[in-house]
Amino acid sequence: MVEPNVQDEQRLTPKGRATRDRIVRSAAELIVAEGLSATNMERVRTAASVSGSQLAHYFADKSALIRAVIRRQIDVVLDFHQQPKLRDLATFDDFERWIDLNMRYLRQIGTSGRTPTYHALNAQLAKSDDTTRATLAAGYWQWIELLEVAVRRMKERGALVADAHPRNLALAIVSAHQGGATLAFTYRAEWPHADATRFAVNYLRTFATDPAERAARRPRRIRKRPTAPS
Amino acid sequence: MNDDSTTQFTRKGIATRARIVAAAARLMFERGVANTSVEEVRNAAKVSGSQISHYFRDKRDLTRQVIASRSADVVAFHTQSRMGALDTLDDLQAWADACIADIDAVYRKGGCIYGSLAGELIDSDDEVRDDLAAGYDQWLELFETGLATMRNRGDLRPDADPRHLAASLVIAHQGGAMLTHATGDAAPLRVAVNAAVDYVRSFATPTQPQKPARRRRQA
Repeated sequence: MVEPNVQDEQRLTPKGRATRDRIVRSAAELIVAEGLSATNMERVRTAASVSGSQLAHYFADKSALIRAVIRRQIDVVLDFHQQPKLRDLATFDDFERWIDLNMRYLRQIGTSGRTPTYHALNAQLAKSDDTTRATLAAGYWQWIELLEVAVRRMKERGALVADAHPRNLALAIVSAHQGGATLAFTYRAEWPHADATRFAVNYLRTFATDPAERAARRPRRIRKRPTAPS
Repeated sequence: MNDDSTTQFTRKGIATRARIVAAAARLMFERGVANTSVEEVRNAAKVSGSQISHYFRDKRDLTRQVIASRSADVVAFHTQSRMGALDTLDDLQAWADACIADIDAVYRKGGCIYGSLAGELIDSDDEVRDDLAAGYDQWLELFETGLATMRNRGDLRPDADPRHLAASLVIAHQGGAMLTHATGDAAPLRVAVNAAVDYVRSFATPTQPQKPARRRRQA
């Protein structure tokens, strides 16, 4: 798919980029808080405190803006997975840290449902139109690809047995993550995401070559009442 | 969630009300809650505006009835005879297979009938989210009961945690459904539900006839 906005973005001055980011962030928050239909250019303009001509300069129409919102959020997800602490998800220990960092991130954003996470955007936007859904799908494939590469590397190093299927493992991990996040926001509680990420990593462990790594780890105990989001 | 309001209607009234909820559920599945107006539901159910307002205070009220109806659909799906009591590995595989069989007719069209509601209503008020959580509670309990039976029977090892495994099955299904709907690809849901069942299977006691003292465990 041709994505002209990506090129535009690279030509921006630092100030222009900051303005554009503010517009995209405001739009993301509006979509998740009020739904796509209530999100129009005028409301985005007000929320981002920009003029109509500024908004039109960065985004030709609402649909271009929505695509930018989705791409921004998948970048948040990809950046999360590429943070140095996760060391390219090369070992089971790295995946254990992936669980910890996921739970820490959830604690940061809280479960109010007001943060435009990728699963929240997907739920709001997947039934809108085909172009939007294709953009959501492209984001998911990027995420799946990233994990597939990581799992394949583990397999090539001999950490996983021969019948470990990197693509399927990546699909299972991303699915678990998205399902866990959806239930966590519904319950306004952390435990579903703890179960989800534990399932994902324990499932990966069932393909471990080393019997000690293969053993399932227990789900973390989660505080009953999550504290208010920071 | 199911209040007593149904009791105040005649049999015909109950049928009309059910027809409205069914039309709303269908529209919300196809195009989302936000893209479904009360007016469109009225047209689809072929009832008058005054009939709708007789049965439902507002769209929120109607949406809550749709949640209740979809939750009942989920329970009905999981209590089909082909899935037994969801208390053997074969039953769980039959569940995964039944989900996979619905991919084209359901999941690629609108995702999970229940999960897509939950996802879209993620920032609703506490009451609506409590409704949604109550539906998940019922669903989780169906699996948890079957898994606890399997553990007590000795099919699963003592370290199998029925609550965690039940959560894994439902969560895998929900995420797989989201990805299959977004991508239009059957693989995510197929892989996710099979992975969850294989995860349960990884807690199976070895099938070798090496069970000396068959101890029954307390639930």
